[in-house]
Amino acid sequence: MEQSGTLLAISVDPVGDNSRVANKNRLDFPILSDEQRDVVWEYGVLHQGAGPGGSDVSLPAMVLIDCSGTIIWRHVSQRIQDRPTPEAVLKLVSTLDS
Amino acid sequence: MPDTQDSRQNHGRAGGRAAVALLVTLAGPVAYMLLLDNARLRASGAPAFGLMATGAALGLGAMWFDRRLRVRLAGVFNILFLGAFTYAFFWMMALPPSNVVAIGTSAPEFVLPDQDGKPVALADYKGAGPVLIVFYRGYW
Repeated sequence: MEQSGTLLAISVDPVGDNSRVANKNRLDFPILSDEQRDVVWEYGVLHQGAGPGGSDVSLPAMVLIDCSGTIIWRHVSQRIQDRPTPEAVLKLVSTLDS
Repeated sequence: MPDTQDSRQNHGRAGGRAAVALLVTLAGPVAYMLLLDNARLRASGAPAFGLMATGAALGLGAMWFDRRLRVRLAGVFNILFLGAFTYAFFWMMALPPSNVVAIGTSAPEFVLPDQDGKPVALADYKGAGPVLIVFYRGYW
């Protein structure tokens, strides 16, 4: 099913790690590196102290933004193994006008 | 009480049932790991809970017919294992609540390097269609 739109991944890992993951899994979307945790914090998904050595990581989350830059949907996982299915997300995206 | 041929066979069967029960219980987490790709199975834990519940039931059944220590230990192990997995699955996997950005607000702007080191700005995509940002935990 073809769907227009952009997928961006954000992780706190450095560029090198994201590059390795992208190559290994043949991912063709941008994986952005937020090492300062600034963006993760601004979006309200910082998970303090949950990483190795007490470092801060991100909560697993998705944010859908329409073409005017407004947030129209978001989901934050309440358990590590809980993720929205691709079908559920695609259905949401398809309801957007642009 | 003399150990009759009959009761030896009963013991053998119960012993076998207890062993099968243990294997079924231990297969629970293994099946769960193998089926992680299915979102519903992963979120519900169904493969693990189904197998472990079966193992626990089989173990209890074996205990009913055979009071030998090893059969009772196996039966109790199944139940403890199911309990430990349940705890891990629901309690340890829980994530704290967040103050994630609210619906209807403007998405905060950012510029971050992609996997090739190229800076990517959210503003690059404004007007070009919807943008889905997926936040990963990190430390892959």
